[in-house]
Amino acid sequence: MAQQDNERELNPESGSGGKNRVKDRASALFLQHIHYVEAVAFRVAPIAVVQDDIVHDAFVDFIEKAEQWDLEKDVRPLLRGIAENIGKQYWRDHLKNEPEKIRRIFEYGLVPVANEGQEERVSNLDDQIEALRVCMKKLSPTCQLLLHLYYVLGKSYREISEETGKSEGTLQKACSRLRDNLFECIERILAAEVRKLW
Amino acid sequence: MVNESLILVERFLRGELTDAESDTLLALLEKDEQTRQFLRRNLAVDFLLYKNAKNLTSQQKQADEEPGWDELVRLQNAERPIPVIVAEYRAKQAEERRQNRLTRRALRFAKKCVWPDRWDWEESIAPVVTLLVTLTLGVMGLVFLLGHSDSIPITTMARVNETIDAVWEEGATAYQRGQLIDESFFQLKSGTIQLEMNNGVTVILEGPAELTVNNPLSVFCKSGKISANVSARGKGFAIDTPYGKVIDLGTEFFLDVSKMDSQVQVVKGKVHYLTPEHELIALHKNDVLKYNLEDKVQRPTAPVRGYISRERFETRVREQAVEQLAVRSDTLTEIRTMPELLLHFDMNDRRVRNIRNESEIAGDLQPSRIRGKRTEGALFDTYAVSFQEKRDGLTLHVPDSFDSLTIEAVVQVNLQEKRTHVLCSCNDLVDQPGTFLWQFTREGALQLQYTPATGDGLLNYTTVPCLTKEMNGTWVHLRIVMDAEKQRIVQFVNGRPVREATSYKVWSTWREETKPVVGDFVIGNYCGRVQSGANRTLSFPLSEFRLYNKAIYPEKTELNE
Repeated sequence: MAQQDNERELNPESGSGGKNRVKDRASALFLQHIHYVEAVAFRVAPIAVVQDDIVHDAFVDFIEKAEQWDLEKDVRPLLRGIAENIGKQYWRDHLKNEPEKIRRIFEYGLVPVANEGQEERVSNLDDQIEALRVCMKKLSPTCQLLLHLYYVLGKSYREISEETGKSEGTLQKACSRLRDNLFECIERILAAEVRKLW
Repeated sequence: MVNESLILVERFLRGELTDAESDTLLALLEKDEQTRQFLRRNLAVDFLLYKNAKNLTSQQKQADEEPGWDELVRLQNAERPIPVIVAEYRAKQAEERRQNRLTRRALRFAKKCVWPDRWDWEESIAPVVTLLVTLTLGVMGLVFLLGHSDSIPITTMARVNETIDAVWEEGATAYQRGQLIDESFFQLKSGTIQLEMNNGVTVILEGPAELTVNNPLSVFCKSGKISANVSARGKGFAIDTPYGKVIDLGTEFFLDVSKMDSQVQVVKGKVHYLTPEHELIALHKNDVLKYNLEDKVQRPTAPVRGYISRERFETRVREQAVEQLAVRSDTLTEIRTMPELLLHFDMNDRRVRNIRNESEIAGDLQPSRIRGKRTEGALFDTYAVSFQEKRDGLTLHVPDSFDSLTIEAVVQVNLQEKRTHVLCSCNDLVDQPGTFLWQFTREGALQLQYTPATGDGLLNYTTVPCLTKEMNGTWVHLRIVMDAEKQRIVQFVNGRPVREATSYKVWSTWREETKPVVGDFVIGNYCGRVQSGANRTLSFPLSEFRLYNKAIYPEKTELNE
């Protein structure tokens, strides 16, 4: 008595029977590639606070025009285009209120565009996060705890400094170096799986 | 990498660079490729760490206390993963609090029964009496619970976890997602809901259905389809029907009750079926039983009529969440383009998203600061913040005065303690005419306090109580409109105007000549001059907050005299 035989769709009147199947398919596809969209978004607009907005807008854009797309083909190039356009717009909007100097510093933070003829690959965000987790396990306990207190528990450098007895400057420098080291580690892991981070 | 670069990049990531530091960093970036690479790497990994932390915190439950550095170092010496250590620490704290609660309740009960007129409680007697009372209750509990090792929890009975296209019978209570419930009666016309009892039992109910929740271990289903998943703590969970009783022994099963019969199918584990004739039948994995009044017990080989599996339900929940997120995104996109929008803050990040006012062009924006505890938001994968400590709050500055103002907030009701909860307040309350404070009173009413031009103290505009404990766990949309043109103040809960406390009108007359002023502003706390010892923070999770420089009413609002 296979369980599949027993299962059935939710009552069409109360479930998704009345909705546009193309949009359902499009939303399922988008969810499948959401981490890729996140990674593309961050490449063109490396501002953490707007990432969710870019993904939301990309989703809405993709779904609204779902009937125009050929959903049987690979949708990643299409999603990339949508995410890049929206990301660039957010980049401009976010920076327009920033002082000129901050804008210029952000420009330096953008990844350089690949030269013509070079293949440009973007790793899925979940792969990058998985690689990050592997790398974090290799850190010393003190470094792991510092990152945990700062990012997961959301404590400020001042609070961590009061708890640990180390100066804020020392903690800031340590965090900067940790990120640099983590980057190298992540790149090694992803390269080992024949994927390029940047 | 030079030390100076390390600190400058770090301060840039935190948004704390001064003007001189920006110049120094720019100079380094222009001349040194290594610094540029360093900046890109830090940006990238900062984002990944931020996302990783977000994933972790969304999986962990909230606790009142977080372990400090020393405790984490001590726990870390056991060489276990950080999330496991933190989760166990929280579980340990939660268990200690639960035991303390039990002890205090036993003490109060003993005091009331044994010495009702005596208020002085001698410490030497208390432990003895507590022990006696606890033992007595324990024996009674053991008999009542038929040998189950878990005691019946003493907090709220259950929670409505999810609803999918739920339509309720006319006149029936319309339960909402997140709502905490005690003994309840569900009349579901169509759609599906998921209930979680506080002993870990989850029940998916598909309409049309009628279900009565008596306690976390016993429900009565008159009709409908149920998919139950029972953890070890909920062993003994029983569903009573007109055709017998299904008693779970730590398993997963499906039950379909119609007007003619009931059918039960065991997915895994073991179940007892007690017929109206008091015959007890044991059912194991994949067993099916059908009972009706004519043929009594039947053991068909064919499976139960279609049911909703947990996996299907969760898939549908995710789809619904995507739909809701899309709608929310549409709504937010539309809101952000409104020229009347002064301030929009949603708690998915820690910065104010949008402030637009006349002084913006002049660069008269001051940075905002937030201090609070991040919690789960109204929708899947969104966040809220609650302000619990006396120093918590979102402080910001909004210059200029306005003819009319509208404030919107989305909060999760959590009426655990009877006190005021301040939604927002101006710093110069009482001192400067036009400043105001918006809060929930101790009785659960909405109240605006406004500083008039006359200088005679504050004017209060209060509604009738509009929050009740039955709303605990649900998200509500609040709005207040200060309308200078119509000279009225209207307060809304979920789009419906709330009656004024002193009359039968749904609005209050407002004939102030002084225009509302925001200025130095705090969301989630009181920041006025007149301080009292009481905590007035908004401990309800706050998901969104918006300020408009115009009177904006909800759609389809009729404000009758």
